[in-house]
Amino acid sequence: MQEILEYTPILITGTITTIELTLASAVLALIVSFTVGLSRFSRLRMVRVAAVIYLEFFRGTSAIVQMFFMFFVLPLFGVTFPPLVAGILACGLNLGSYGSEVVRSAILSVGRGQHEAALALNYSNYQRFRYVLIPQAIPVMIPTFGNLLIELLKLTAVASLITISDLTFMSQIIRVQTALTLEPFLVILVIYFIIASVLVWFTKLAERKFSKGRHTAAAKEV
Amino acid sequence: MTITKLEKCSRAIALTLFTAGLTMGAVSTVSAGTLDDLREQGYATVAVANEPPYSDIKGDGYVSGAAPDVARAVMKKLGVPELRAKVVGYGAMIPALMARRVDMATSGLYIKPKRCESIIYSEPDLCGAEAFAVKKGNPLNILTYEDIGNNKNVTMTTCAGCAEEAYALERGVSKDQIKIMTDPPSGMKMLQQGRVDVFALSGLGTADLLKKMNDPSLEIVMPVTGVPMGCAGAAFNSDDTAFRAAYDEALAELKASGEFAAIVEPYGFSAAATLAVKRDDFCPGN
Repeated sequence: MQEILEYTPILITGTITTIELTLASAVLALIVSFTVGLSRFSRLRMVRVAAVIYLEFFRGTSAIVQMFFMFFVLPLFGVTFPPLVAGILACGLNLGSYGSEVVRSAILSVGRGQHEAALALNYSNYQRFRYVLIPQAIPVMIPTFGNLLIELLKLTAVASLITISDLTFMSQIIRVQTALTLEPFLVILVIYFIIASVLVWFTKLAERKFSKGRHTAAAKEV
Repeated sequence: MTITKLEKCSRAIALTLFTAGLTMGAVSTVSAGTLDDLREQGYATVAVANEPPYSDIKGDGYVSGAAPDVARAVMKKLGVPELRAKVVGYGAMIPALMARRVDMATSGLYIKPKRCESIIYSEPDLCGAEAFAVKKGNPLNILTYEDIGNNKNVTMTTCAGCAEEAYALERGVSKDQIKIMTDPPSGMKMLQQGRVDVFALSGLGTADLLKKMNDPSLEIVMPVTGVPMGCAGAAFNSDDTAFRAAYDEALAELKASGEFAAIVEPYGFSAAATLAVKRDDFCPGN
Protein backbone atom coordinates (compact mmCIF):
# COMPACT_ATOMS: atom_id res chain seq x y z
CA MET A 1 0.00 0.00 0.00
CA GLN A 2 2.93 2.30 0.78
CA GLU A 3 4.02 2.17 -2.85
CA ILE A 4 0.56 3.15 -4.04
CA LEU A 5 0.55 6.25 -1.85
CA GLU A 6 3.63 7.43 -3.71
CA TYR A 7 1.49 7.52 -6.84
CA THR A 8 -1.26 9.66 -5.29
CA PRO A 9 -0.55 12.67 -7.56
CA ILE A 10 -1.17 10.74 -10.80
CA LEU A 11 -4.20 9.01 -9.26
CA ILE A 12 -5.70 12.41 -8.50
CA THR A 13 -4.97 13.66 -12.03
CA GLY A 14 -6.54 10.49 -13.41
CA THR A 15 -9.64 10.87 -11.26
CA ILE A 16 -10.09 14.47 -12.37
CA THR A 17 -9.70 13.46 -16.02
CA THR A 18 -12.28 10.71 -15.63
CA ILE A 19 -14.76 13.09 -14.00
CA GLU A 20 -14.20 15.76 -16.66
CA LEU A 21 -14.65 13.28 -19.43
CA THR A 22 -17.81 11.84 -17.85
CA LEU A 23 -19.49 15.18 -17.22
CA ALA A 24 -18.64 16.75 -20.58
CA SER A 25 -19.74 13.66 -22.50
CA ALA A 26 -22.93 13.50 -20.42
CA VAL A 27 -23.86 17.02 -21.52
CA LEU A 28 -23.15 16.19 -25.16
CA ALA A 29 -25.02 12.89 -24.86
CA LEU A 30 -28.05 14.64 -23.38
CA ILE A 31 -28.20 17.15 -26.24
CA VAL A 32 -27.77 14.38 -28.80
CA SER A 33 -30.41 12.21 -27.09
CA PHE A 34 -33.06 14.90 -27.32
CA THR A 35 -32.09 16.01 -30.82
CA VAL A 36 -32.07 12.52 -32.28
CA GLY A 37 -34.94 11.21 -30.15
CA LEU A 38 -37.26 14.06 -31.13
CA SER A 39 -36.21 13.90 -34.76
CA ARG A 40 -37.81 10.49 -34.85
CA PHE A 41 -41.22 12.24 -34.55
CA SER A 42 -40.52 14.60 -37.42
CA ARG A 43 -42.94 14.84 -40.31
CA LEU A 44 -40.06 14.99 -42.72
CA ARG A 45 -39.00 11.54 -43.82
CA MET A 46 -35.44 12.73 -44.40
CA VAL A 47 -35.02 13.81 -40.80
CA ARG A 48 -36.43 10.53 -39.49
CA VAL A 49 -34.16 8.50 -41.73
CA ALA A 50 -31.13 10.56 -40.72
CA ALA A 51 -31.95 9.98 -37.05
CA VAL A 52 -32.27 6.22 -37.56
CA ILE A 53 -28.98 6.07 -39.47
CA TYR A 54 -27.28 7.96 -36.68
CA LEU A 55 -28.78 5.72 -34.04
CA GLU A 56 -27.90 2.47 -35.76
CA PHE A 57 -24.41 3.58 -36.65
CA PHE A 58 -23.36 4.76 -33.21
CA ARG A 59 -25.18 2.04 -31.33
CA GLY A 60 -24.12 -0.69 -33.67
CA THR A 61 -20.37 -0.08 -33.78
CA SER A 62 -18.10 -0.35 -30.80
CA ALA A 63 -17.14 2.72 -28.84
CA ILE A 64 -13.50 1.68 -28.95
CA VAL A 65 -13.47 1.70 -32.74
CA GLN A 66 -15.28 5.04 -32.85
CA MET A 67 -12.74 6.53 -30.49
CA PHE A 68 -9.81 5.12 -32.42
CA PHE A 69 -11.31 6.39 -35.65
CA MET A 70 -11.89 9.87 -34.32
CA PHE A 71 -8.40 10.18 -32.93
CA PHE A 72 -6.13 8.35 -35.33
CA VAL A 73 -7.99 8.18 -38.62
CA LEU A 74 -9.56 11.65 -38.95
CA PRO A 75 -6.14 13.38 -38.76
CA LEU A 76 -5.21 11.55 -41.95
CA PHE A 77 -8.03 13.54 -43.58
CA GLY A 78 -6.87 16.77 -41.99
CA VAL A 79 -9.27 16.90 -39.02
CA THR A 80 -7.33 16.91 -35.78
CA PHE A 81 -9.17 16.98 -32.47
CA PRO A 82 -7.27 17.33 -29.22
CA PRO A 83 -7.38 14.06 -27.25
CA LEU A 84 -9.95 15.19 -24.69
CA VAL A 85 -12.28 16.56 -27.38
CA ALA A 86 -12.03 13.33 -29.35
CA GLY A 87 -12.81 11.37 -26.20
CA ILE A 88 -15.78 13.56 -25.34
CA LEU A 89 -17.12 13.34 -28.89
CA ALA A 90 -16.78 9.56 -29.05
CA CYS A 91 -18.31 8.93 -25.61
CA GLY A 92 -21.01 11.58 -26.04
CA LEU A 93 -22.08 10.55 -29.53
CA ASN A 94 -22.06 6.88 -28.58
CA LEU A 95 -24.11 7.29 -25.40
CA GLY A 96 -26.35 9.82 -27.15
CA SER A 97 -27.51 7.12 -29.53
CA TYR A 98 -28.72 5.00 -26.61
CA GLY A 99 -30.21 8.08 -24.98
CA SER A 100 -32.23 8.95 -28.07
CA GLU A 101 -34.16 5.71 -27.67
CA VAL A 102 -34.86 6.60 -24.06
CA VAL A 103 -36.29 9.95 -25.15
CA ARG A 104 -38.35 8.40 -27.92
CA SER A 105 -39.81 5.64 -25.79
CA ALA A 106 -40.57 8.00 -22.91
CA ILE A 107 -42.55 10.27 -25.21
CA LEU A 108 -44.41 7.31 -26.64
CA SER A 109 -45.27 6.26 -23.10
CA VAL A 110 -47.27 9.44 -22.45
CA GLY A 111 -50.93 8.50 -22.59
CA ARG A 112 -52.78 8.83 -25.85
CA GLY A 113 -55.36 11.03 -24.16
CA GLN A 114 -52.72 13.65 -23.57
CA HIS A 115 -51.93 13.80 -27.29
CA GLU A 116 -55.59 14.15 -28.10
CA ALA A 117 -56.23 16.77 -25.45
CA ALA A 118 -53.37 18.86 -26.85
CA LEU A 119 -54.88 18.54 -30.33
CA ALA A 120 -58.32 19.46 -29.03
CA LEU A 121 -56.85 22.64 -27.54
CA ASN A 122 -55.48 23.44 -30.98
CA TYR A 123 -51.90 23.30 -29.73
CA SER A 124 -49.29 23.50 -32.42
CA ASN A 125 -46.83 20.67 -32.75
CA TYR A 126 -44.21 22.66 -30.95
CA GLN A 127 -46.57 23.51 -28.07
CA ARG A 128 -47.72 19.91 -27.87
CA PHE A 129 -44.19 18.68 -27.31
CA ARG A 130 -42.97 21.59 -25.24
CA TYR A 131 -45.89 21.93 -22.83
CA VAL A 132 -47.60 18.55 -22.80
CA LEU A 133 -45.48 15.62 -23.91
CA ILE A 134 -41.90 16.40 -22.89
CA PRO A 135 -42.70 17.55 -19.33
CA GLN A 136 -44.58 14.33 -18.72
CA ALA A 137 -41.91 12.21 -20.38
CA ILE A 138 -38.99 13.55 -18.37
CA PRO A 139 -39.78 11.70 -15.11
CA VAL A 140 -39.97 8.50 -17.15
CA MET A 141 -36.57 9.17 -18.72
CA ILE A 142 -34.63 9.93 -15.57
CA PRO A 143 -34.09 6.44 -14.12
CA THR A 144 -32.85 5.13 -17.47
CA PHE A 145 -30.68 8.18 -17.98
CA GLY A 146 -29.23 7.50 -14.55
CA ASN A 147 -28.28 4.03 -15.70
CA LEU A 148 -26.70 5.40 -18.85
CA LEU A 149 -24.77 7.99 -16.87
CA ILE A 150 -23.07 5.25 -14.86
CA GLU A 151 -22.53 3.27 -18.03
CA LEU A 152 -20.83 6.38 -19.40
CA LEU A 153 -18.55 6.65 -16.40
CA LYS A 154 -17.29 3.16 -17.10
CA LEU A 155 -17.10 3.76 -20.84
CA THR A 156 -14.56 6.53 -20.26
CA ALA A 157 -12.05 3.85 -19.23
CA VAL A 158 -11.44 3.03 -22.89
CA ALA A 159 -10.27 6.61 -23.49
CA SER A 160 -6.76 5.60 -22.47
CA LEU A 161 -6.51 4.17 -25.99
CA ILE A 162 -6.30 7.67 -27.36
CA THR A 163 -3.63 8.91 -24.96
CA ILE A 164 -6.04 10.30 -22.38
CA SER A 165 -4.58 9.41 -19.01
CA ASP A 166 -7.74 8.52 -17.14
CA LEU A 167 -8.09 6.64 -13.88
CA THR A 168 -7.85 3.16 -15.38
CA PHE A 169 -4.75 4.09 -17.35
CA MET A 170 -3.09 5.51 -14.24
CA SER A 171 -3.72 2.24 -12.44
CA GLN A 172 -2.06 0.40 -15.33
CA ILE A 173 0.96 2.66 -15.00
CA ILE A 174 1.15 1.90 -11.28
CA ARG A 175 0.78 -1.82 -11.96
CA VAL A 176 3.60 -1.93 -14.46
CA GLN A 177 5.87 0.33 -12.43
CA THR A 178 5.39 -1.50 -9.13
CA ALA A 179 4.38 -5.01 -10.29
CA LEU A 180 1.50 -4.92 -7.79
CA THR A 181 -1.89 -6.13 -8.96
CA LEU A 182 -4.37 -6.21 -6.12
CA GLU A 183 -3.69 -2.82 -4.59
CA PRO A 184 -3.97 -0.53 -7.65
CA PHE A 185 -7.15 -2.27 -8.74
CA LEU A 186 -8.62 -2.07 -5.26
CA VAL A 187 -7.92 1.66 -5.10
CA ILE A 188 -9.56 2.49 -8.42
CA LEU A 189 -12.47 0.17 -7.64
CA VAL A 190 -13.22 2.31 -4.61
CA ILE A 191 -12.73 5.58 -6.52
CA TYR A 192 -15.06 4.48 -9.33
CA PHE A 193 -17.63 3.37 -6.79
CA ILE A 194 -17.54 6.73 -5.03
CA ILE A 195 -17.97 8.63 -8.30
CA ALA A 196 -20.83 6.33 -9.31
CA SER A 197 -22.52 6.85 -5.93
CA VAL A 198 -22.43 10.61 -6.42
CA LEU A 199 -23.97 10.20 -9.88
CA VAL A 200 -26.73 7.98 -8.43
CA TRP A 201 -27.42 10.54 -5.75
CA PHE A 202 -27.63 13.26 -8.39
CA THR A 203 -30.07 11.18 -10.46
CA LYS A 204 -32.28 10.65 -7.41
CA LEU A 205 -32.28 14.37 -6.81
CA ALA A 206 -33.30 15.10 -10.39
CA GLU A 207 -35.99 12.46 -10.18
CA ARG A 208 -37.50 14.08 -7.13
CA LYS A 209 -37.33 17.55 -8.63
CA PHE A 210 -38.97 16.62 -11.91
CA SER A 211 -41.79 14.59 -10.45
CA LYS A 212 -42.68 17.21 -7.86
CA GLY A 213 -46.36 18.04 -7.96
CA ARG A 214 -47.01 15.66 -10.83
CA HIS A 215 -49.70 13.11 -10.45
CA THR A 216 -50.03 12.19 -14.05
CA ALA A 217 -50.22 8.63 -15.24
CA ALA A 218 -46.60 8.73 -16.34
CA ALA A 219 -45.34 10.02 -13.01
CA LYS A 220 -47.22 7.35 -11.11
CA GLU A 221 -45.82 4.61 -13.32
CA VAL A 222 -42.32 5.55 -12.17
CA MET B 1 -45.37 23.67 -39.30
CA THR B 2 -43.94 24.05 -35.87
CA ILE B 3 -42.15 20.78 -36.00
CA THR B 4 -39.79 22.55 -38.38
CA LYS B 5 -38.95 24.77 -35.44
CA LEU B 6 -37.78 21.70 -33.61
CA GLU B 7 -35.84 20.56 -36.60
CA LYS B 8 -34.26 23.93 -37.07
CA CYS B 9 -33.32 23.91 -33.44
CA SER B 10 -31.75 20.48 -33.69
CA ARG B 11 -29.99 21.35 -36.90
CA ALA B 12 -28.55 24.45 -35.29
CA ILE B 13 -27.31 22.43 -32.33
CA ALA B 14 -25.67 19.88 -34.57
CA LEU B 15 -24.04 22.60 -36.63
CA THR B 16 -22.74 24.42 -33.56
CA LEU B 17 -21.29 21.23 -32.14
CA PHE B 18 -19.67 20.39 -35.42
CA THR B 19 -18.10 23.80 -35.97
CA ALA B 20 -17.09 24.04 -32.32
CA GLY B 21 -15.30 20.74 -32.70
CA LEU B 22 -13.63 21.84 -35.91
CA THR B 23 -12.34 25.12 -34.54
CA MET B 24 -11.06 23.48 -31.38
CA GLY B 25 -9.32 20.97 -33.59
CA ALA B 26 -7.88 23.61 -35.87
CA VAL B 27 -6.40 25.59 -33.01
CA SER B 28 -4.44 22.67 -31.62
CA THR B 29 -3.34 21.14 -34.91
CA VAL B 30 0.05 19.59 -34.35
CA SER B 31 2.76 21.37 -36.28
CA ALA B 32 4.52 19.61 -39.10
CA GLY B 33 6.98 18.26 -36.54
CA THR B 34 10.04 19.53 -38.31
CA LEU B 35 12.98 20.38 -36.14
CA ASP B 36 12.68 24.11 -36.80
CA ASP B 37 9.14 24.15 -35.49
CA LEU B 38 10.17 22.22 -32.40
CA ARG B 39 13.04 24.60 -31.72
CA GLU B 40 10.71 27.52 -32.00
CA GLN B 41 8.12 26.12 -29.64
CA GLY B 42 10.81 24.94 -27.26
CA TYR B 43 9.61 21.40 -26.66
CA ALA B 44 8.94 18.12 -28.39
CA THR B 45 6.07 15.76 -27.62
CA VAL B 46 7.23 12.19 -27.26
CA ALA B 47 5.17 9.02 -26.99
CA VAL B 48 6.52 6.74 -24.30
CA ALA B 49 5.29 3.26 -23.47
CA ASN B 50 4.87 2.10 -19.92
CA GLU B 51 7.72 -0.37 -19.79
CA PRO B 52 10.45 -0.23 -17.18
CA PRO B 53 13.40 0.09 -17.43
CA TYR B 54 12.98 1.55 -20.91
CA SER B 55 10.70 4.11 -19.32
CA ASP B 56 10.26 4.89 -15.67
CA ILE B 57 7.24 6.87 -14.49
CA LYS B 58 7.37 8.63 -11.16
CA GLY B 59 4.50 9.14 -8.75
CA ASP B 60 4.02 12.72 -9.84
CA GLY B 61 3.90 11.72 -13.51
CA TYR B 62 7.48 12.64 -14.39
CA VAL B 63 8.87 10.32 -17.05
CA SER B 64 12.47 9.16 -16.98
CA GLY B 65 14.01 5.81 -17.89
CA ALA B 66 16.72 4.87 -20.36
CA ALA B 67 14.89 5.72 -23.60
CA PRO B 68 13.42 9.11 -22.62
CA ASP B 69 16.73 10.12 -21.01
CA VAL B 70 18.64 9.42 -24.22
CA ALA B 71 16.02 11.30 -26.24
CA ARG B 72 16.21 14.22 -23.82
CA ALA B 73 19.99 14.45 -24.18
CA VAL B 74 19.80 14.25 -27.98
CA MET B 75 17.06 16.87 -28.26
CA LYS B 76 18.99 19.21 -25.97
CA LYS B 77 21.91 18.94 -28.38
CA LEU B 78 19.53 19.82 -31.20
CA GLY B 79 18.37 22.95 -29.42
CA VAL B 80 15.05 21.69 -28.07
CA PRO B 81 15.32 22.17 -24.30
CA GLU B 82 12.18 20.34 -23.18
CA LEU B 83 10.75 16.92 -23.78
CA ARG B 84 7.07 16.41 -22.99
CA ALA B 85 6.46 12.74 -22.53
CA LYS B 86 3.04 11.33 -23.24
CA VAL B 87 2.55 7.88 -21.82
CA VAL B 88 0.51 5.82 -24.29
CA GLY B 89 -0.41 2.19 -24.69
CA TYR B 90 2.00 0.09 -26.69
CA GLY B 91 -0.46 -0.34 -29.56
CA ALA B 92 -1.04 3.41 -29.81
CA MET B 93 2.57 4.39 -30.43
CA ILE B 94 2.76 3.85 -34.18
CA PRO B 95 -0.73 5.24 -34.93
CA ALA B 96 0.15 8.30 -32.83
CA LEU B 97 3.21 8.90 -34.98
CA MET B 98 1.35 8.41 -38.22
CA ALA B 99 -1.45 10.76 -37.19
CA ARG B 100 1.17 13.26 -35.94
CA ARG B 101 -0.25 13.16 -32.47
CA VAL B 102 3.34 13.19 -31.24
CA ASP B 103 6.62 14.36 -32.76
CA MET B 104 8.51 11.17 -31.98
CA ALA B 105 8.25 7.93 -30.03
CA THR B 106 10.75 6.22 -27.83
CA SER B 107 11.00 3.40 -25.26
CA GLY B 108 11.69 -0.08 -26.39
CA LEU B 109 10.06 -0.02 -29.82
CA TYR B 110 12.34 -2.63 -31.43
CA ILE B 111 13.47 -1.93 -34.97
CA LYS B 112 11.54 -4.49 -37.04
CA PRO B 113 11.00 -4.69 -40.81
CA LYS B 114 7.20 -4.69 -40.46
CA ARG B 115 7.26 -1.49 -38.43
CA CYS B 116 9.73 0.10 -40.82
CA GLU B 117 7.03 0.06 -43.47
CA SER B 118 5.04 2.66 -41.51
CA ILE B 119 7.60 4.69 -39.59
CA ILE B 120 11.29 5.57 -39.69
CA TYR B 121 13.83 4.91 -36.94
CA SER B 122 16.93 6.60 -35.63
CA GLU B 123 20.11 4.55 -35.24
CA PRO B 124 19.67 1.98 -32.43
CA ASP B 125 19.78 3.50 -28.97
CA LEU B 126 19.04 0.58 -26.66
CA CYS B 127 19.91 -3.08 -27.18
CA GLY B 128 19.36 -6.00 -24.91
CA ALA B 129 19.23 -9.79 -24.81
CA GLU B 130 15.97 -11.70 -24.61
CA ALA B 131 14.82 -13.57 -21.52
CA PHE B 132 12.29 -16.08 -20.19
CA ALA B 133 10.81 -16.25 -16.74
CA VAL B 134 9.96 -19.77 -15.57
CA LYS B 135 9.11 -21.61 -12.37
CA LYS B 136 11.98 -22.14 -9.94
CA GLY B 137 14.42 -24.81 -11.12
CA ASN B 138 13.08 -24.62 -14.70
CA PRO B 139 11.17 -27.97 -14.40
CA LEU B 140 10.46 -28.18 -18.14
CA ASN B 141 14.05 -27.26 -19.01
CA ILE B 142 13.12 -24.43 -21.38
CA LEU B 143 16.18 -22.60 -22.65
CA THR B 144 15.24 -21.61 -26.21
CA TYR B 145 12.13 -21.01 -28.31
CA GLU B 146 12.86 -24.32 -30.06
CA ASP B 147 12.40 -26.08 -26.70
CA ILE B 148 8.89 -24.66 -26.50
CA GLY B 149 8.18 -25.60 -30.12
CA ASN B 150 9.29 -29.19 -29.54
CA ASN B 151 6.99 -29.78 -26.57
CA LYS B 152 3.43 -28.99 -27.58
CA ASN B 153 2.23 -29.16 -23.96
CA VAL B 154 4.21 -26.09 -22.99
CA THR B 155 2.43 -22.76 -23.10
CA MET B 156 4.01 -19.34 -23.08
CA THR B 157 2.87 -15.74 -22.76
CA THR B 158 4.09 -12.53 -24.32
CA CYS B 159 2.55 -9.26 -25.43
CA ALA B 160 0.48 -8.87 -28.58
CA GLY B 161 2.50 -7.92 -31.64
CA CYS B 162 5.72 -7.99 -29.66
CA ALA B 163 8.98 -9.18 -31.17
CA GLU B 164 8.89 -12.22 -28.87
CA GLU B 165 5.69 -13.43 -30.49
CA ALA B 166 7.34 -13.39 -33.91
CA TYR B 167 10.46 -15.14 -32.56
CA ALA B 168 8.30 -17.90 -31.16
CA LEU B 169 6.22 -18.41 -34.31
CA GLU B 170 9.33 -18.44 -36.51
CA ARG B 171 10.88 -21.15 -34.33
CA GLY B 172 8.14 -23.71 -34.45
CA VAL B 173 5.92 -22.64 -31.56
CA SER B 174 2.31 -23.03 -32.63
CA LYS B 175 -0.24 -20.25 -32.24
CA ASP B 176 -2.29 -22.04 -29.59
CA GLN B 177 0.74 -22.41 -27.35
CA ILE B 178 0.95 -18.62 -27.05
CA LYS B 179 -1.38 -16.84 -24.67
CA ILE B 180 -1.30 -13.10 -25.14
CA MET B 181 -0.89 -10.94 -22.06
CA THR B 182 -2.28 -7.42 -21.78
CA ASP B 183 0.72 -6.11 -19.87
CA PRO B 184 3.86 -7.61 -18.32
CA PRO B 185 2.59 -7.81 -14.72
CA SER B 186 -0.47 -9.72 -15.93
CA GLY B 187 1.84 -12.11 -17.77
CA MET B 188 3.80 -12.72 -14.59
CA LYS B 189 0.56 -13.36 -12.71
CA MET B 190 -0.34 -15.97 -15.34
CA LEU B 191 3.00 -17.65 -14.74
CA GLN B 192 2.59 -17.53 -10.96
CA GLN B 193 -0.89 -19.00 -11.16
CA GLY B 194 0.23 -21.78 -13.48
CA ARG B 195 -1.83 -20.64 -16.47
CA VAL B 196 1.34 -20.62 -18.60
CA ASP B 197 4.79 -22.22 -18.26
CA VAL B 198 6.97 -19.54 -19.83
CA PHE B 199 6.95 -15.75 -19.77
CA ALA B 200 8.94 -14.17 -22.63
CA LEU B 201 10.05 -10.54 -22.84
CA SER B 202 13.12 -8.36 -23.18
CA GLY B 203 15.84 -9.37 -20.73
CA LEU B 204 15.91 -6.13 -18.81
CA GLY B 205 12.14 -5.85 -18.68
CA THR B 206 11.89 -9.38 -17.29
CA ALA B 207 14.69 -8.84 -14.77
CA ASP B 208 13.17 -5.57 -13.57
CA LEU B 209 9.76 -7.16 -13.10
CA LEU B 210 11.12 -10.19 -11.24
CA LYS B 211 13.06 -7.93 -8.92
CA LYS B 212 9.94 -5.91 -8.12
CA MET B 213 7.76 -8.97 -7.63
CA ASN B 214 10.36 -10.58 -5.41
CA ASP B 215 8.76 -14.03 -5.77
CA PRO B 216 11.20 -16.83 -4.86
CA SER B 217 9.18 -19.39 -6.85
CA LEU B 218 10.20 -17.81 -10.19
CA GLU B 219 13.53 -17.57 -11.99
CA ILE B 220 14.98 -15.97 -15.10
CA VAL B 221 16.56 -17.63 -18.17
CA MET B 222 18.86 -15.05 -19.78
CA PRO B 223 20.05 -14.74 -22.46
CA VAL B 224 17.76 -16.87 -24.60
CA THR B 225 20.06 -18.23 -27.29
CA GLY B 226 19.17 -18.49 -30.96
CA VAL B 227 17.36 -15.16 -31.21
CA PRO B 228 18.88 -11.84 -32.24
CA MET B 229 19.45 -9.12 -29.73
CA GLY B 230 16.53 -6.71 -29.66
CA CYS B 231 17.45 -3.17 -30.57
CA ALA B 232 15.19 -0.17 -30.19
CA GLY B 233 15.51 3.31 -31.61
CA ALA B 234 13.62 6.56 -31.55
CA ALA B 235 10.81 6.49 -34.12
CA PHE B 236 9.52 9.25 -36.36
CA ASN B 237 6.78 9.94 -38.87
CA SER B 238 8.03 8.71 -42.24
CA ASP B 239 7.98 12.25 -43.70
CA ASP B 240 10.40 13.56 -41.09
CA THR B 241 13.59 12.33 -42.75
CA ALA B 242 15.43 15.61 -42.17
CA PHE B 243 14.54 15.56 -38.48
CA ARG B 244 15.68 11.95 -38.26
CA ALA B 245 19.00 12.77 -39.97
CA ALA B 246 19.69 15.56 -37.47
CA TYR B 247 18.72 13.24 -34.61
CA ASP B 248 21.09 10.53 -35.86
CA GLU B 249 23.93 13.00 -36.04
CA ALA B 250 23.41 14.23 -32.50
CA LEU B 251 23.01 10.66 -31.24
CA ALA B 252 26.33 9.72 -32.87
CA GLU B 253 28.04 12.62 -31.09
CA LEU B 254 26.51 11.49 -27.82
CA LYS B 255 27.76 7.95 -28.36
CA ALA B 256 31.27 9.16 -29.29
CA SER B 257 31.62 11.42 -26.24
CA GLY B 258 30.80 8.65 -23.77
CA GLU B 259 27.79 10.56 -22.50
CA PHE B 260 25.57 7.87 -23.97
CA ALA B 261 27.15 5.12 -21.86
CA ALA B 262 26.75 7.29 -18.77
CA ILE B 263 23.01 7.54 -19.41
CA VAL B 264 22.09 3.96 -20.28
CA GLU B 265 24.43 1.88 -18.12
CA PRO B 266 22.86 2.79 -14.77
CA TYR B 267 19.62 1.31 -16.16
CA GLY B 268 21.41 -1.97 -16.93
CA PHE B 269 21.78 -1.56 -20.70
CA SER B 270 25.10 -2.34 -22.34
CA ALA B 271 26.43 0.62 -24.32
CA ALA B 272 28.97 -1.61 -26.08
CA ALA B 273 26.22 -3.88 -27.44
CA THR B 274 24.38 -0.88 -28.84
CA LEU B 275 27.47 0.63 -30.43
CA ALA B 276 28.11 -2.64 -32.27
CA VAL B 277 24.90 -2.50 -34.37
CA LYS B 278 23.43 -0.23 -37.02
CA ARG B 279 19.88 0.43 -38.14
CA ASP B 280 20.68 -1.14 -41.49
CA ASP B 281 21.26 -4.47 -39.72
CA PHE B 282 17.51 -4.59 -39.03
CA CYS B 283 15.87 -2.42 -41.64
CA PRO B 284 18.12 -1.80 -44.64
CA GLY B 285 17.17 1.41 -46.40
CA ASN B 286 14.67 2.57 -43.76
